Amino acid sequence: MAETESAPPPAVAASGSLASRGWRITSRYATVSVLIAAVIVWQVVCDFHLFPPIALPSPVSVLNALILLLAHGYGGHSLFDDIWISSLRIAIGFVGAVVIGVPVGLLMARIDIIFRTIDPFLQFIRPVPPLAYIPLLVVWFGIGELPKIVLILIGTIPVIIIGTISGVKGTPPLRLSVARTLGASESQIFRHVILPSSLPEIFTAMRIGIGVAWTCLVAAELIAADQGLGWLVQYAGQALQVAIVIVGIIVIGVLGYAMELLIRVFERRVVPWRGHG
Amino acid sequence: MPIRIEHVGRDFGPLRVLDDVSLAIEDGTFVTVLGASGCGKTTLLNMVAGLSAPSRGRILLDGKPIAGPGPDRVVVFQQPGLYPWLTLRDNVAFGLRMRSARHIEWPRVDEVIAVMGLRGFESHRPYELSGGMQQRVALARALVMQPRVLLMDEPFAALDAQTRHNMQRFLLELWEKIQATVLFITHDIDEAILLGDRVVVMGARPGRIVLEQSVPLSRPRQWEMSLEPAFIDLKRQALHILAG
Ligand SMILES: Nc1ncnc2c1ncn2[C@@H]1O[C@H](COP(=O)(O)OP(=O)(O)OP(=O)(O)O)[C@@H](O)[C@H]1O
Ligand SMILES: [Mg+2]
Repeated sequence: MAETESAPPPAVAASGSLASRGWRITSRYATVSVLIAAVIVWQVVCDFHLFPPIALPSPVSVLNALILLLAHGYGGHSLFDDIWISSLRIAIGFVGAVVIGVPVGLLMARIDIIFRTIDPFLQFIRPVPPLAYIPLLVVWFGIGELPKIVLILIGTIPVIIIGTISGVKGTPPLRLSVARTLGASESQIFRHVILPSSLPEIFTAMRIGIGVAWTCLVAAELIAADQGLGWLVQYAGQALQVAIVIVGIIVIGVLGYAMELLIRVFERRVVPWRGHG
Repeated sequence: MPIRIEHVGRDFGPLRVLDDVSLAIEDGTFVTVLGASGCGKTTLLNMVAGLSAPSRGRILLDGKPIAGPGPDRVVVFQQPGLYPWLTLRDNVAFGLRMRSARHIEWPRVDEVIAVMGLRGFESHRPYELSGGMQQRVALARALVMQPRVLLMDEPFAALDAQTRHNMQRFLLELWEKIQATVLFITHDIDEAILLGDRVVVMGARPGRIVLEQSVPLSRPRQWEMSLEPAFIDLKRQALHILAG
Protein backbone atom coordinates (compact mmCIF):
# COMPACT_ATOMS: atom_id res chain seq x y z
CA MET A 1 0.00 0.00 0.00
CA ALA A 2 2.76 2.41 0.99
CA GLU A 3 4.66 1.41 -2.13
CA THR A 4 1.98 2.49 -4.56
CA GLU A 5 0.94 5.63 -2.76
CA SER A 6 4.25 7.25 -2.07
CA ALA A 7 6.57 8.98 -4.48
CA PRO A 8 9.42 6.61 -5.34
CA PRO A 9 12.96 7.44 -4.33
CA PRO A 10 15.01 8.87 -7.22
CA ALA A 11 17.10 5.70 -7.64
CA VAL A 12 14.01 3.61 -8.28
CA ALA A 13 12.53 6.15 -10.64
CA ALA A 14 15.77 6.26 -12.59
CA SER A 15 15.92 2.50 -12.97
CA GLY A 16 12.22 2.14 -13.75
CA SER A 17 10.98 1.48 -17.27
CA LEU A 18 10.70 4.38 -19.66
CA ALA A 19 6.94 4.07 -19.73
CA SER A 20 6.56 4.31 -15.96
CA ARG A 21 9.04 7.18 -15.86
CA GLY A 22 7.05 9.08 -18.41
CA TRP A 23 3.91 8.41 -16.44
CA ARG A 24 5.46 9.73 -13.25
CA ILE A 25 6.60 12.93 -14.90
CA THR A 26 3.14 13.42 -16.41
CA SER A 27 1.43 12.79 -13.08
CA ARG A 28 3.73 15.25 -11.33
CA TYR A 29 2.90 17.89 -13.95
CA ALA A 30 -0.77 17.03 -13.53
CA THR A 31 -0.67 17.83 -9.81
CA VAL A 32 1.10 21.13 -10.39
CA SER A 33 -1.18 22.08 -13.30
CA VAL A 34 -4.33 21.37 -11.33
CA LEU A 35 -3.02 23.50 -8.47
CA ILE A 36 -2.15 26.40 -10.77
CA ALA A 37 -5.48 26.11 -12.60
CA ALA A 38 -7.38 26.15 -9.30
CA VAL A 39 -5.57 29.30 -8.17
CA ILE A 40 -6.24 30.99 -11.53
CA VAL A 41 -9.95 30.12 -11.39
CA TRP A 42 -10.02 31.36 -7.81
CA GLN A 43 -8.41 34.66 -8.87
CA VAL A 44 -10.79 35.08 -11.83
CA VAL A 45 -13.83 34.41 -9.64
CA CYS A 46 -12.59 37.12 -7.29
CA ASP A 47 -11.87 39.57 -10.13
CA PHE A 48 -15.45 39.28 -11.33
CA HIS A 49 -16.73 39.94 -7.77
CA LEU A 50 -18.97 36.88 -7.81
CA PHE A 51 -18.68 36.78 -4.02
CA PRO A 52 -18.09 39.65 -1.64
CA PRO A 53 -14.31 39.94 -1.02
CA ILE A 54 -14.86 39.63 2.71
CA ALA A 55 -16.24 36.11 2.17
CA LEU A 56 -13.80 35.07 -0.54
CA PRO A 57 -10.52 36.97 -0.52
CA SER A 58 -8.38 36.63 -3.63
CA PRO A 59 -5.23 34.49 -3.77
CA VAL A 60 -3.21 37.69 -3.76
CA SER A 61 -4.77 38.95 -0.55
CA VAL A 62 -4.29 35.52 1.04
CA LEU A 63 -0.62 35.74 0.08
CA ASN A 64 -0.50 39.22 1.63
CA ALA A 65 -2.13 37.86 4.77
CA LEU A 66 0.54 35.16 4.94
CA ILE A 67 3.31 37.73 4.60
CA LEU A 68 1.68 39.89 7.24
CA LEU A 69 1.30 36.89 9.52
CA LEU A 70 4.94 35.90 9.05
CA ALA A 71 6.12 39.46 9.71
CA HIS A 72 3.90 40.54 12.58
CA GLY A 73 1.99 37.52 13.82
CA TYR A 74 -1.64 37.71 14.89
CA GLY A 75 -3.46 38.21 18.17
CA GLY A 76 -0.28 38.77 20.12
CA HIS A 77 1.90 35.86 18.96
CA SER A 78 3.72 34.96 15.82
CA LEU A 79 2.63 32.29 13.34
CA PHE A 80 5.63 30.23 14.41
CA ASP A 81 4.47 30.31 18.02
CA ASP A 82 1.15 28.83 16.92
CA ILE A 83 2.85 26.23 14.75
CA TRP A 84 5.24 25.37 17.54
CA ILE A 85 2.62 24.99 20.24
CA SER A 86 0.39 22.88 17.98
CA SER A 87 3.32 20.68 16.95
CA LEU A 88 4.37 20.22 20.54
CA ARG A 89 0.86 19.17 21.55
CA ILE A 90 0.57 16.74 18.68
CA ALA A 91 4.02 15.28 19.36
CA ILE A 92 3.27 14.64 23.02
CA GLY A 93 -0.24 13.34 22.37
CA PHE A 94 0.71 11.13 19.44
CA VAL A 95 3.84 9.66 21.00
CA GLY A 96 1.80 9.05 24.15
CA ALA A 97 -0.88 7.28 22.11
CA VAL A 98 1.70 5.01 20.47
CA VAL A 99 3.51 4.31 23.73
CA ILE A 100 0.21 3.33 25.37
CA GLY A 101 -1.61 1.86 22.37
CA VAL A 102 1.01 -0.59 21.07
CA PRO A 103 1.66 -2.44 24.36
CA VAL A 104 -2.07 -2.50 25.18
CA GLY A 105 -2.80 -3.85 21.70
CA LEU A 106 -0.11 -6.51 22.07
CA LEU A 107 -1.48 -7.57 25.46
CA MET A 108 -5.04 -7.61 24.15
CA ALA A 109 -4.03 -9.75 21.17
CA ARG A 110 -2.20 -12.24 23.37
CA ILE A 111 -4.31 -12.47 26.52
CA ASP A 112 -7.99 -13.13 26.06
CA ILE A 113 -9.10 -11.83 29.45
CA ILE A 114 -7.39 -8.49 28.79
CA PHE A 115 -9.02 -8.29 25.38
CA ARG A 116 -12.43 -8.93 26.86
CA THR A 117 -11.87 -6.36 29.59
CA ILE A 118 -10.75 -3.52 27.35
CA ASP A 119 -12.61 -4.20 24.10
CA PRO A 120 -16.07 -2.99 25.28
CA PHE A 121 -14.60 0.39 26.21
CA LEU A 122 -12.87 0.58 22.86
CA GLN A 123 -16.07 -0.25 21.01
CA PHE A 124 -17.87 2.41 23.03
CA ILE A 125 -15.29 5.14 22.52
CA ARG A 126 -14.80 4.57 18.81
CA PRO A 127 -18.16 5.65 17.35
CA VAL A 128 -18.29 8.82 19.50
CA PRO A 129 -16.76 11.74 17.57
CA PRO A 130 -13.82 13.09 19.62
CA LEU A 131 -15.40 16.55 19.40
CA ALA A 132 -18.17 15.36 21.69
CA TYR A 133 -15.71 14.98 24.54
CA ILE A 134 -14.45 18.56 24.39
CA PRO A 135 -17.09 20.18 26.66
CA LEU A 136 -16.53 17.46 29.24
CA LEU A 137 -12.76 17.84 29.05
CA VAL A 138 -13.01 21.60 29.41
CA VAL A 139 -15.16 21.23 32.52
CA TRP A 140 -12.74 18.72 33.99
CA PHE A 141 -9.37 20.12 32.94
CA GLY A 142 -9.99 23.74 31.87
CA ILE A 143 -8.39 25.06 28.71
CA GLY A 144 -4.75 24.23 29.47
CA GLU A 145 -2.60 21.66 27.75
CA LEU A 146 -4.01 18.61 29.49
CA PRO A 147 -7.46 18.49 27.83
CA LYS A 148 -5.85 18.71 24.38
CA ILE A 149 -3.44 15.89 25.07
CA VAL A 150 -6.24 13.80 26.56
CA LEU A 151 -8.41 14.40 23.51
CA ILE A 152 -5.60 13.29 21.19
CA LEU A 153 -5.15 10.17 23.31
CA ILE A 154 -8.89 9.39 23.23
CA GLY A 155 -8.99 9.75 19.48
CA THR A 156 -5.72 8.03 18.59
CA ILE A 157 -5.24 5.18 21.07
CA PRO A 158 -8.13 3.08 19.68
CA VAL A 159 -6.70 3.39 16.16
CA ILE A 160 -3.26 2.22 17.35
CA ILE A 161 -4.70 -0.59 19.47
CA ILE A 162 -6.88 -1.94 16.68
CA GLY A 163 -4.00 -1.81 14.18
CA THR A 164 -1.67 -3.58 16.60
CA ILE A 165 -4.18 -6.35 17.29
CA SER A 166 -4.80 -6.89 13.60
CA GLY A 167 -1.03 -6.97 13.02
CA VAL A 168 -0.56 -9.69 15.63
CA LYS A 169 -3.53 -11.71 14.39
CA GLY A 170 -2.33 -11.33 10.83
CA THR A 171 1.01 -13.07 11.40
CA PRO A 172 1.28 -15.68 8.62
CA PRO A 173 0.80 -19.18 10.14
CA LEU A 174 3.82 -20.52 8.24
CA ARG A 175 6.12 -18.10 10.07
CA LEU A 176 4.80 -19.44 13.36
CA SER A 177 5.14 -23.08 12.26
CA VAL A 178 8.72 -22.50 11.17
CA ALA A 179 9.65 -21.00 14.53
CA ARG A 180 7.86 -23.78 16.43
CA THR A 181 9.62 -26.54 14.54
CA LEU A 182 12.96 -24.81 15.09
CA GLY A 183 12.37 -25.06 18.82
CA ALA A 184 11.37 -21.49 19.66
CA SER A 185 9.53 -20.99 22.94
CA GLU A 186 6.28 -19.03 23.09
CA SER A 187 8.06 -15.92 24.34
CA GLN A 188 10.73 -16.25 21.65
CA ILE A 189 8.04 -16.61 19.00
CA PHE A 190 6.40 -13.47 20.31
CA ARG A 191 9.61 -11.46 20.32
CA HIS A 192 11.25 -12.78 17.16
CA VAL A 193 8.27 -13.54 14.92
CA ILE A 194 4.99 -11.94 15.99
CA LEU A 195 6.38 -8.55 16.94
CA PRO A 196 8.25 -7.91 13.67
CA SER A 197 5.37 -9.40 11.68
CA SER A 198 2.94 -6.91 13.16
CA LEU A 199 5.13 -3.84 12.53
CA PRO A 200 3.77 -3.04 9.05
CA GLU A 201 0.20 -2.95 10.38
CA ILE A 202 1.30 -0.85 13.35
CA PHE A 203 2.78 1.68 10.95
CA THR A 204 -0.42 1.77 8.92
CA ALA A 205 -2.27 2.48 12.15
CA MET A 206 0.22 5.22 12.98
CA ARG A 207 -0.33 6.87 9.60
CA ILE A 208 -4.08 6.84 10.11
CA GLY A 209 -3.58 7.81 13.75
CA ILE A 210 -1.53 10.92 13.04
CA GLY A 211 -4.37 12.25 10.90
CA VAL A 212 -6.89 11.51 13.64
CA ALA A 213 -4.63 13.13 16.25
CA TRP A 214 -4.25 16.27 14.16
CA THR A 215 -8.01 16.50 13.63
CA CYS A 216 -8.62 16.13 17.37
CA LEU A 217 -6.06 18.76 18.23
CA VAL A 218 -7.27 21.37 15.78
CA ALA A 219 -10.84 20.77 16.96
CA ALA A 220 -9.79 21.22 20.58
CA GLU A 221 -7.90 24.39 19.74
CA LEU A 222 -10.90 25.75 17.84
CA ILE A 223 -13.11 25.46 20.88
CA ALA A 224 -10.91 25.91 23.88
CA ALA A 225 -7.48 27.46 23.47
CA ASP A 226 -5.65 30.76 23.43
CA GLN A 227 -2.78 29.56 21.23
CA GLY A 228 -2.26 27.20 18.34
CA LEU A 229 -3.35 26.93 14.72
CA GLY A 230 -6.93 25.96 15.55
CA TRP A 231 -7.21 28.96 17.78
CA LEU A 232 -5.72 31.18 15.02
CA VAL A 233 -8.37 30.08 12.54
CA GLN A 234 -11.18 30.50 15.04
CA TYR A 235 -9.99 33.92 16.27
CA ALA A 236 -9.52 35.29 12.76
CA GLY A 237 -12.91 33.89 11.74
CA GLN A 238 -14.63 35.74 14.57
CA ALA A 239 -12.94 38.93 13.37
CA LEU A 240 -14.11 38.12 9.80
CA GLN A 241 -10.51 38.09 8.58
CA VAL A 242 -11.10 35.32 6.08
CA ALA A 243 -7.69 35.64 4.40
CA ILE A 244 -6.02 34.72 7.67
CA VAL A 245 -8.50 31.87 8.16
CA ILE A 246 -7.48 30.51 4.76
CA VAL A 247 -3.77 30.85 5.59
CA GLY A 248 -4.42 28.95 8.81
CA ILE A 249 -6.27 26.18 6.97
CA ILE A 250 -3.45 25.84 4.44
CA VAL A 251 -0.82 25.66 7.19
CA ILE A 252 -2.88 23.03 9.03
CA GLY A 253 -3.16 20.99 5.85
CA VAL A 254 0.51 21.26 4.96
CA LEU A 255 1.62 20.34 8.49
CA GLY A 256 -0.73 17.35 8.58
CA TYR A 257 0.69 16.13 5.29
CA ALA A 258 4.26 16.69 6.49
CA MET A 259 3.61 14.60 9.59
CA GLU A 260 2.38 11.70 7.52
CA LEU A 261 5.44 11.96 5.29
CA LEU A 262 7.63 11.89 8.38
CA ILE A 263 6.01 8.65 9.51
CA ARG A 264 6.49 7.18 6.04
CA VAL A 265 10.20 7.96 6.13
CA PHE A 266 10.41 6.35 9.54
CA GLU A 267 8.39 3.39 8.27
CA ARG A 268 10.69 2.82 5.33
CA ARG A 269 13.64 2.60 7.70
CA VAL A 270 12.00 0.29 10.22
CA VAL A 271 10.05 -2.01 7.88
CA PRO A 272 11.92 -1.99 4.58
CA TRP A 273 10.33 -5.34 3.73
CA ARG A 274 6.85 -3.83 3.63
CA GLY A 275 5.02 -4.79 0.45
CA HIS A 276 7.45 -7.66 -0.15
CA GLY A 277 5.43 -10.23 1.81
CA MET B 1 14.94 -41.71 16.05
CA PRO B 2 12.39 -44.24 14.83
CA ILE B 3 8.92 -43.03 13.84
CA ARG B 4 5.79 -45.19 14.08
CA ILE B 5 2.64 -44.03 12.38
CA GLU B 6 -0.19 -46.27 13.60
CA HIS B 7 -3.62 -46.32 11.92
CA VAL B 8 -3.63 -42.57 11.59
CA GLY B 9 -6.61 -40.71 10.16
CA ARG B 10 -7.20 -37.01 9.78
CA ASP B 11 -10.43 -35.15 9.05
CA PHE B 12 -10.99 -31.52 8.21
CA GLY B 13 -14.62 -31.06 9.13
CA PRO B 14 -16.58 -33.55 7.03
CA LEU B 15 -13.59 -34.08 4.72
CA ARG B 16 -11.72 -37.33 5.39
CA VAL B 17 -8.23 -36.43 4.19
CA LEU B 18 -6.27 -39.38 5.60
CA ASP B 19 -7.58 -42.81 6.48
CA ASP B 20 -5.79 -45.58 8.32
CA VAL B 21 -2.21 -44.71 7.43
CA SER B 22 0.39 -46.95 9.04
CA LEU B 23 4.09 -46.58 8.44
CA ALA B 24 7.17 -47.56 10.41
CA ILE B 25 10.35 -45.63 9.78
CA GLU B 26 13.43 -47.17 11.40
CA ASP B 27 16.12 -45.04 12.95
CA GLY B 28 18.39 -43.53 10.34
CA THR B 29 16.39 -44.54 7.29
CA PHE B 30 15.38 -42.36 4.41
CA VAL B 31 11.75 -42.74 3.40
CA THR B 32 10.33 -40.92 0.40
CA VAL B 33 6.61 -40.32 -0.16
CA LEU B 34 5.00 -39.95 -3.57
CA GLY B 35 1.41 -39.04 -4.24
CA ALA B 36 -0.94 -36.96 -6.34
CA SER B 37 -1.50 -33.33 -5.40
CA GLY B 38 -4.03 -33.01 -2.59
CA CYS B 39 -3.79 -36.61 -1.39
CA GLY B 40 -2.71 -35.56 2.11
CA LYS B 41 1.10 -35.69 2.07
CA THR B 42 1.55 -32.34 3.76
CA THR B 43 -1.19 -33.21 6.24
CA LEU B 44 0.71 -36.35 7.22
CA LEU B 45 4.03 -34.54 7.51
CA ASN B 46 2.51 -31.78 9.66
CA MET B 47 1.28 -34.39 12.12
CA VAL B 48 4.73 -35.97 12.38
CA ALA B 49 6.11 -32.46 12.89
CA GLY B 50 3.64 -32.05 15.78
CA LEU B 51 1.92 -29.05 14.20
CA SER B 52 -1.43 -30.81 14.17
CA ALA B 53 -2.84 -33.90 15.83
CA PRO B 54 -4.33 -37.00 14.21
CA SER B 55 -8.11 -37.42 14.35
CA ARG B 56 -7.60 -41.17 14.76
CA GLY B 57 -4.63 -43.38 15.57
CA ARG B 58 -1.32 -42.19 16.95
CA ILE B 59 2.21 -41.29 15.98
CA LEU B 60 5.13 -42.40 18.12
CA LEU B 61 8.56 -40.87 18.05
CA ASP B 62 11.19 -42.96 19.79
CA GLY B 63 8.30 -44.88 21.38
CA LYS B 64 6.56 -41.80 22.77
CA PRO B 65 3.45 -40.12 21.35
CA ILE B 66 4.17 -36.81 19.64
CA ALA B 67 2.85 -33.97 21.79
CA GLY B 68 3.98 -31.02 19.70
CA PRO B 69 6.81 -29.66 17.61
CA GLY B 70 10.31 -30.14 18.94
CA PRO B 71 13.84 -29.24 17.92
CA ASP B 72 14.59 -32.97 17.42
CA ARG B 73 12.47 -32.78 14.26
CA VAL B 74 13.24 -30.08 11.78
CA VAL B 75 10.90 -29.31 8.90
CA VAL B 76 11.55 -27.94 5.45
CA PHE B 77 8.17 -26.66 4.33
CA GLN B 78 6.75 -26.52 0.84
CA GLN B 79 7.15 -22.72 0.89
CA PRO B 80 10.37 -21.10 2.15
CA GLY B 81 8.71 -19.20 5.03
CA LEU B 82 11.72 -16.93 5.60
CA TYR B 83 11.65 -13.91 7.89
CA PRO B 84 11.81 -10.79 5.71
CA TRP B 85 13.29 -8.62 8.47
CA LEU B 86 16.32 -10.91 8.84
CA THR B 87 19.30 -11.18 6.52
CA LEU B 88 20.01 -14.47 4.78
CA ARG B 89 22.65 -15.33 7.38
CA ASP B 90 20.36 -14.53 10.31
CA ASN B 91 17.58 -16.57 8.73
CA VAL B 92 19.91 -19.57 8.50
CA ALA B 93 21.00 -19.05 12.11
CA PHE B 94 17.43 -18.59 13.39
CA GLY B 95 17.09 -22.06 14.95
CA LEU B 96 20.53 -21.90 16.53
CA ARG B 97 19.68 -18.52 18.01
CA MET B 98 16.48 -19.94 19.51
CA ARG B 99 18.51 -22.76 21.01
CA SER B 100 21.12 -20.45 22.53
CA ALA B 101 21.49 -16.84 21.52
CA ARG B 102 25.01 -16.58 22.93
CA HIS B 103 26.57 -19.62 21.32
CA ILE B 104 25.66 -19.53 17.67
CA GLU B 105 28.15 -21.65 15.77
CA TRP B 106 28.81 -19.18 13.00
CA PRO B 107 31.41 -21.34 11.22
CA ARG B 108 28.76 -24.01 10.76
CA VAL B 109 26.27 -21.44 9.54
CA ASP B 110 28.75 -20.11 7.00
CA GLU B 111 29.66 -23.62 5.88
CA VAL B 112 26.04 -24.51 5.13
CA ILE B 113 25.59 -21.20 3.32
CA ALA B 114 28.61 -22.01 1.17
CA VAL B 115 27.42 -25.54 0.39
CA MET B 116 24.03 -24.17 -0.67
CA GLY B 117 25.78 -21.86 -3.10
CA LEU B 118 24.59 -18.77 -1.30
CA ARG B 119 27.94 -17.22 -0.48
CA GLY B 120 28.06 -13.52 -1.25
CA PHE B 121 24.38 -13.08 -0.40
CA GLU B 122 24.74 -13.32 3.39
CA SER B 123 23.48 -9.80 4.05
CA HIS B 124 20.65 -9.91 1.52
CA ARG B 125 17.04 -9.91 2.66
CA PRO B 126 14.75 -12.73 1.48
CA TYR B 127 12.84 -10.47 -0.91
CA GLU B 128 16.11 -9.72 -2.68
CA LEU B 129 16.58 -13.43 -3.51
CA SER B 130 15.09 -15.57 -6.26
CA GLY B 131 12.51 -18.24 -5.41
CA GLY B 132 15.04 -21.05 -5.72
CA MET B 133 17.53 -19.21 -3.54
CA GLN B 134 14.87 -18.65 -0.91
CA GLN B 135 14.13 -22.37 -0.86
CA ARG B 136 17.85 -23.10 -0.41
CA VAL B 137 17.95 -20.70 2.53
CA ALA B 138 15.04 -22.60 4.08
CA LEU B 139 16.96 -25.82 3.51
CA ALA B 140 20.12 -24.38 5.06
CA ARG B 141 18.13 -23.16 8.05
CA ALA B 142 16.93 -26.72 8.69
CA LEU B 143 20.17 -28.57 7.96
CA VAL B 144 22.32 -26.33 10.15
CA MET B 145 20.39 -27.74 13.12
CA GLN B 146 21.79 -31.23 12.35
CA PRO B 147 18.51 -32.77 13.52
CA ARG B 148 17.88 -36.43 14.33
CA VAL B 149 14.71 -36.32 12.25
CA LEU B 150 14.36 -34.35 9.05
CA LEU B 151 10.89 -33.79 7.57
CA MET B 152 10.96 -32.41 4.05
CA ASP B 153 7.94 -31.32 2.01
CA GLU B 154 8.88 -31.13 -1.69
CA PRO B 155 11.98 -29.12 -0.79
CA PHE B 156 13.48 -29.18 -4.27
CA ALA B 157 10.31 -28.63 -6.31
CA ALA B 158 11.11 -24.97 -6.98
CA LEU B 159 14.71 -25.54 -8.11
CA ASP B 160 16.16 -25.84 -11.60
CA ALA B 161 17.46 -29.26 -12.68
CA GLN B 162 21.13 -28.48 -12.05
CA THR B 163 20.62 -26.98 -8.61
CA ARG B 164 18.24 -29.77 -7.68
CA HIS B 165 20.91 -32.26 -8.64
CA ASN B 166 23.48 -30.56 -6.41
CA MET B 167 21.05 -30.33 -3.55
CA GLN B 168 20.14 -34.00 -3.80
CA ARG B 169 23.80 -34.99 -3.73
CA PHE B 170 24.48 -32.68 -0.82
CA LEU B 171 21.50 -34.01 1.10
CA LEU B 172 22.65 -37.61 0.61
CA GLU B 173 26.19 -36.81 1.74
CA LEU B 174 24.94 -34.98 4.79
CA TRP B 175 22.46 -37.72 5.60
CA GLU B 176 25.16 -40.37 5.50
CA LYS B 177 27.16 -38.21 7.89
CA ILE B 178 24.49 -37.30 10.46
CA GLN B 179 22.42 -40.50 10.09
CA ALA B 180 19.12 -38.69 10.48
CA THR B 181 15.74 -40.28 10.01
CA VAL B 182 14.25 -38.64 6.94
CA LEU B 183 10.66 -38.35 5.72
CA PHE B 184 10.87 -36.78 2.29
CA ILE B 185 7.82 -35.80 0.21
CA THR B 186 8.21 -35.34 -3.52
CA HIS B 187 6.23 -35.66 -6.72
CA ASP B 188 9.36 -36.60 -8.69
CA ILE B 189 9.49 -40.40 -9.03
CA ASP B 190 13.20 -40.48 -9.97
CA GLU B 191 14.04 -38.36 -6.96
CA ALA B 192 12.00 -40.59 -4.66
CA ILE B 193 13.81 -43.73 -5.82
CA LEU B 194 17.29 -42.25 -5.98
CA LEU B 195 17.16 -40.78 -2.49
CA GLY B 196 15.08 -43.27 -0.54
CA ASP B 197 15.71 -46.52 1.26
CA ARG B 198 12.01 -47.02 0.91
CA VAL B 199 9.42 -45.48 -1.36
CA VAL B 200 5.86 -44.97 -0.20
CA VAL B 201 3.14 -44.17 -2.72
CA MET B 202 -0.08 -42.62 -1.47
CA GLY B 203 -3.51 -42.74 -3.04
CA ALA B 204 -6.13 -40.02 -2.76
CA ARG B 205 -9.63 -39.56 -1.36
CA PRO B 206 -9.14 -40.58 1.31
CA GLY B 207 -5.36 -40.47 1.45
CA ARG B 208 -3.85 -43.84 2.28
CA ILE B 209 -0.74 -45.85 1.50
CA VAL B 210 -1.11 -47.96 -1.62
CA LEU B 211 2.48 -49.09 -2.15
CA GLU B 212 5.47 -49.46 0.14
CA GLN B 213 8.66 -50.78 -1.44
CA SER B 214 12.26 -50.87 -0.36
CA VAL B 215 14.67 -49.59 -2.98
CA PRO B 216 17.00 -52.38 -4.13
CA LEU B 217 19.92 -50.07 -4.87
CA SER B 218 23.22 -49.92 -3.00
CA ARG B 219 24.65 -46.92 -1.22
CA PRO B 220 26.21 -44.55 -1.90
CA ARG B 221 23.79 -43.76 -4.69
CA GLN B 222 25.04 -42.77 -8.11
CA TRP B 223 22.97 -41.02 -10.75
CA GLU B 224 23.69 -43.78 -13.28
CA MET B 225 21.68 -46.11 -11.08
CA SER B 226 18.55 -44.69 -12.65
CA LEU B 227 19.44 -46.84 -15.67
CA GLU B 228 19.49 -50.10 -13.70
CA PRO B 229 16.66 -52.60 -14.22
CA ALA B 230 15.79 -52.56 -10.51
CA PHE B 231 15.29 -48.79 -10.67
CA ILE B 232 13.20 -48.98 -13.81
CA ASP B 233 11.11 -51.77 -12.33
CA LEU B 234 10.24 -49.75 -9.27
CA LYS B 235 9.61 -46.67 -11.34
CA ARG B 236 7.19 -48.61 -13.52
CA GLN B 237 5.25 -49.78 -10.45
CA ALA B 238 5.01 -46.26 -9.04
CA LEU B 239 4.03 -44.78 -12.39
CA HIS B 240 1.34 -47.39 -12.79
CA ILE B 241 -0.25 -46.43 -9.46
CA LEU B 242 0.12 -42.68 -9.88
CA ALA B 243 -1.38 -42.77 -13.35
CA GLY B 244 -4.39 -44.55 -11.78
N1 LIG C 1 -6.35 -26.71 7.23
C1 LIG C 1 -7.13 -27.37 6.34
N2 LIG C 1 -8.46 -27.21 6.38
C2 LIG C 1 -9.26 -27.86 5.50
N3 LIG C 1 -8.82 -28.67 4.55
C3 LIG C 1 -7.49 -28.90 4.47
C4 LIG C 1 -6.57 -28.24 5.35
N4 LIG C 1 -5.32 -28.63 5.03
C5 LIG C 1 -5.45 -29.47 4.01
N5 LIG C 1 -6.75 -29.64 3.66
C6 LIG C 1 -7.25 -30.51 2.59
O1 LIG C 1 -6.63 -31.76 2.73
C7 LIG C 1 -6.30 -32.28 1.47
C8 LIG C 1 -4.83 -32.67 1.45
O2 LIG C 1 -4.02 -31.52 1.60
P1 LIG C 1 -2.45 -31.60 1.64
O3 LIG C 1 -1.93 -30.23 1.74
O4 LIG C 1 -2.05 -32.56 2.69
O5 LIG C 1 -2.14 -32.22 0.20
P2 LIG C 1 -0.71 -32.60 -0.47
O6 LIG C 1 -0.74 -34.06 -0.70
O7 LIG C 1 0.39 -32.06 0.35
O8 LIG C 1 -0.81 -31.86 -1.86
P3 LIG C 1 0.36 -31.12 -2.70
O9 LIG C 1 1.13 -32.18 -3.38
O10 LIG C 1 -0.42 -30.29 -3.69
O11 LIG C 1 1.15 -30.29 -1.76
C9 LIG C 1 -6.67 -31.25 0.43
O12 LIG C 1 -7.87 -31.65 -0.15
C10 LIG C 1 -6.87 -29.98 1.23
O13 LIG C 1 -7.90 -29.23 0.66
MG1 LIG D 1 1.75 -30.53 0.09
